[in-house]
Amino acid sequence: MAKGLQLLEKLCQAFGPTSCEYEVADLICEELQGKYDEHTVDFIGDHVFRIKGKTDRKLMLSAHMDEVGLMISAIDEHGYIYFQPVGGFDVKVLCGRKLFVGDYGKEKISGLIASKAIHQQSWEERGKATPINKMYIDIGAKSKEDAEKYVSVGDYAVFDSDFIRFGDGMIKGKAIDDRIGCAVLCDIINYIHENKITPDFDLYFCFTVREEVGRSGAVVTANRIKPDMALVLEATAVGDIAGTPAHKRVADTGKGPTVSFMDHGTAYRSEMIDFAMKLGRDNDIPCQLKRYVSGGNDAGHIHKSSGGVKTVAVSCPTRYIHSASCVFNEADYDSMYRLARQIALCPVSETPVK
Amino acid sequence: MADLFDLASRLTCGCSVSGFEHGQEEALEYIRDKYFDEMRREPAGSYVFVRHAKKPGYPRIMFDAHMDEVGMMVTQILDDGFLRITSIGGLDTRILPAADVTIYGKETLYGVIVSTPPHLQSGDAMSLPKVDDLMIDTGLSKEKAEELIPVGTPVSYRFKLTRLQNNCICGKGFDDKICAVAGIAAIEQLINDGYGGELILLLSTKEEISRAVVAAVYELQPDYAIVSDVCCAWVPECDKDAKRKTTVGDGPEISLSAITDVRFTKRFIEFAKKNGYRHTVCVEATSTGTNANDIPLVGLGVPTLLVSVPLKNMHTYSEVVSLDDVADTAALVAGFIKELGGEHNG
Amino acid sequence: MINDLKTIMTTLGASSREDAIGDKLSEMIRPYVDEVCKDPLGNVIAVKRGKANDPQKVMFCAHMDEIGFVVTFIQDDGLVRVSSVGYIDYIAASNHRVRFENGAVGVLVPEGKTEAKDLRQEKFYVDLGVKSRREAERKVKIGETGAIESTLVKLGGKRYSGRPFDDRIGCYILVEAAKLLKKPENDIYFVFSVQEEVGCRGSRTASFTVRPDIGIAVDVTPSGDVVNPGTNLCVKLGGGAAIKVKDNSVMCDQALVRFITDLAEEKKIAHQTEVLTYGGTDASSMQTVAGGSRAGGISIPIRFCHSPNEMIDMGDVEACIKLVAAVAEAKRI
Repeated sequence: MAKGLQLLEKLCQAFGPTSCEYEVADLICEELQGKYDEHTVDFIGDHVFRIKGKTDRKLMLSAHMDEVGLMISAIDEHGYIYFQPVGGFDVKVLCGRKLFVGDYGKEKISGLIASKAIHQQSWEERGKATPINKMYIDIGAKSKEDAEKYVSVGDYAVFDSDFIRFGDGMIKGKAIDDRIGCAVLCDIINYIHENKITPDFDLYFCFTVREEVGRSGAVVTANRIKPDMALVLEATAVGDIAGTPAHKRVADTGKGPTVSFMDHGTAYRSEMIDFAMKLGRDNDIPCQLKRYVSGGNDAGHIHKSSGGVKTVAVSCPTRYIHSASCVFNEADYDSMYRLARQIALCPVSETPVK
Repeated sequence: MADLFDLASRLTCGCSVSGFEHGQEEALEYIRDKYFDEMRREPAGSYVFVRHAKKPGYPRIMFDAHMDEVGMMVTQILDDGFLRITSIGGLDTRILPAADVTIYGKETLYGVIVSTPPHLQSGDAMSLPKVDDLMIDTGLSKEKAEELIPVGTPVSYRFKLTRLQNNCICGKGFDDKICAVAGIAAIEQLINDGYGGELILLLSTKEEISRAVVAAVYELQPDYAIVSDVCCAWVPECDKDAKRKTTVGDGPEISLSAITDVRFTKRFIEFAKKNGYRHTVCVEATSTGTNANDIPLVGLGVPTLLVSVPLKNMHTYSEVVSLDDVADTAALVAGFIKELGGEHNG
Repeated sequence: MINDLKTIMTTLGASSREDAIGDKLSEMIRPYVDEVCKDPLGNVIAVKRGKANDPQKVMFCAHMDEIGFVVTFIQDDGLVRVSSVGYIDYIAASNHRVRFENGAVGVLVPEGKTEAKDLRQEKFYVDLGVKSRREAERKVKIGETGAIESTLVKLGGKRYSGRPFDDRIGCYILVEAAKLLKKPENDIYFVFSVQEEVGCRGSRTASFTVRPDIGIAVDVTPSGDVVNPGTNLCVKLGGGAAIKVKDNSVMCDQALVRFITDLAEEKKIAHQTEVLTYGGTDASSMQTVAGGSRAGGISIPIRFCHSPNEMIDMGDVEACIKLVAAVAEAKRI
């Protein structure tokens, strides 16, 4: 497995729901040790690694560290643990899932999301998804006191899901959104470091927090850096499953990263879209337009920060995003990395912000 | 005491979707070699293990647990290597979107059940897809999928056997293989205690579909049958006054039912009480929903009782049982078999 | 050959009234087997003895009953009320002619003002074209059975439309396969079973009598190659003999499924795999009766099953005949 994917596996396995991204940040700091000019951590936990460029034009490269998760809200007398979602879930992917429950610096214990068995449902309940407030986490505790030995209100839970290859070059794992962006950023820094490159842009590699709840750490970071241009690296939900009409597929796995023209947070500038697509074409990197207006990402905050920032979003097409089993094509990782690297190392004169 | 976790992991790891239980051969041979004189497969697919009588005069006692489990089967290969499936047994469709599965084709393959992205879902976000509308993503090309995955290939949940607190474990297929574990543990105890009678372990098949158990029992005609299956444990959101209040950790649940054998069952309950075995009793007057429904009337009739291990999240890949309950079930059954043997032995 | 099929198709025999069709099938198969007998429920059991010292008992079972109606009430005005025998799709049956055991013919019609969604048994009556109860009683009796009139029409290519292909086509296949048998190794039982449509009852008693080692149901299976199929079916009309893996009543013996599939490959007989998401067949009773047997099925793809115009492909039928004969001639299964 390529080095970038090895790092991605480690990052995906880390416990990092929103506002608890510390484990992910620790892994990234360890990976990047000694490969940057400046490292800052802001008060909410955004990590920014700067590599100085030949010019003072600033390029912000951003990926978020947090993943969708659950927060423990109550423990009942029988030791069952109730929760609230942290991030957007399709309720249908929760029931039955194995979890790790805990907090940063605390031992994680196994649990699972459960509700009544099908045999115990009324006829009205059958055929319907169980609402989140009727589900609970079971850790095998006997009572409230017993459960409290392991779990406190305010602790988190994330999916327990392995990172595996299957099919023709596909990979499944949790938290692909957006550890894949984090891994690509690290890969670019490694490349710059190994090849002793001085980029044209002054590069700010931003590993942000809290994207999944919308009130993103990228706001703080963008306001602080005031970049001239921004590249957001993301994972995007796609519907390239059998039977889906072409106009609803969004994008196809295996055909390279997507470049967005519009989502629910951003209407991207056409010169930014053309810039990214042209770089892909000129360098034989597969890439595709995201052919559907849906979702949103940190670009929504970044492009509106300060006096406005020319922003482009490059995303890995990912099936079943926000579930325990996100699926992407490993070739897309490579294409995404190469396209992002081309953008990062592009001379300022050849970009829309020249 | 047998290593219950080890037995559970041996029995639940292979393919045993109803009708495809032969994926378990290795585990079954292990059990045969360790505890029995003989193992054979009945025409309808059930496995019969026999430990011959070492002394005369004992009744022939059969312990039944079914070894099949719910699962899926491939019905069509679609474009881009997606598979259409149908259910084998009653699947809980709430847990299917984005679930991991193992496809037992010409090779053992990983797959994930499709979770339709929100923009493609029509109507009510809370309505669940039907199994026949779901697909499995194999990540393969159509050509490759067709080559490796014939129509009719069984599919089961992919899972990891996990320990929870208080000796609870979480996994799939505990319905009903955890009861097979209890039966084996009971037989190990009887062997260690020098019990001399014939012991029959019936691991019946196709329970989730067609009750193939009756064919095996017809041939065996035991004097007594002890059926063990799992029962739904009480969990939050269930009506507290529901007939079943047993929860995981309460010990085995004994079913009183007009269609099993009330006198035989009451004797079992008396025995449990007298000797201080942890247990609960429930009434299922006219149906137990298990093999114990069918066995009493096979052939010349078989006195049958049902003892259940409480289980949470039945028919999912996250079933939860307590190994303490399993151990208690084994101890109770072993003790009772000794008493039955003693009666015949005079 | 088509004449034989016509005879088999046009002989009325709703569930529990199979004597007439049973007699005809007995006569047809008698020259090709060693013994034919009829059991108490009316199952016709034909056996061809094998030459092996230790023959296996291989039972092929096709049911000879058909879905139909039973007269429940005769009104003063001579109109006749009926109840279903087996599963009737009333939308499909509506406004078709019904023929009764003693030859009377009437039209099955819904009461006026009945909307399509309300087409249920209790809305229907049979109009015999008579004016009074007395006249009607000369034609039919309460308790008498009938069925939608049988037809057999050739369509394009090798396809035929008509009824009741379910499962007279299976009976036809058994007769034709028996003709192909030379001297099999095993004891081959051809069973024409009764009362399948009301719960696989005949095959239970027949299996108890025969005690087969191997039980194979030869019955129809719905094909999925229609416009917007309601469910997820993999069988195609014209795709060859369908080898059953499961339906809602049985999980077939895996080794047997493999054996039949390999045999079809070896003999180059067109075949396909059947995974049926609903329904049941006689395979379930063969599997579980008495000590049980290794059970499977060889199925004939059919469209519009249980309608007045079912459709089959004779290419599939020929493949089934060859496959049944090949399994019957096999040395050890």
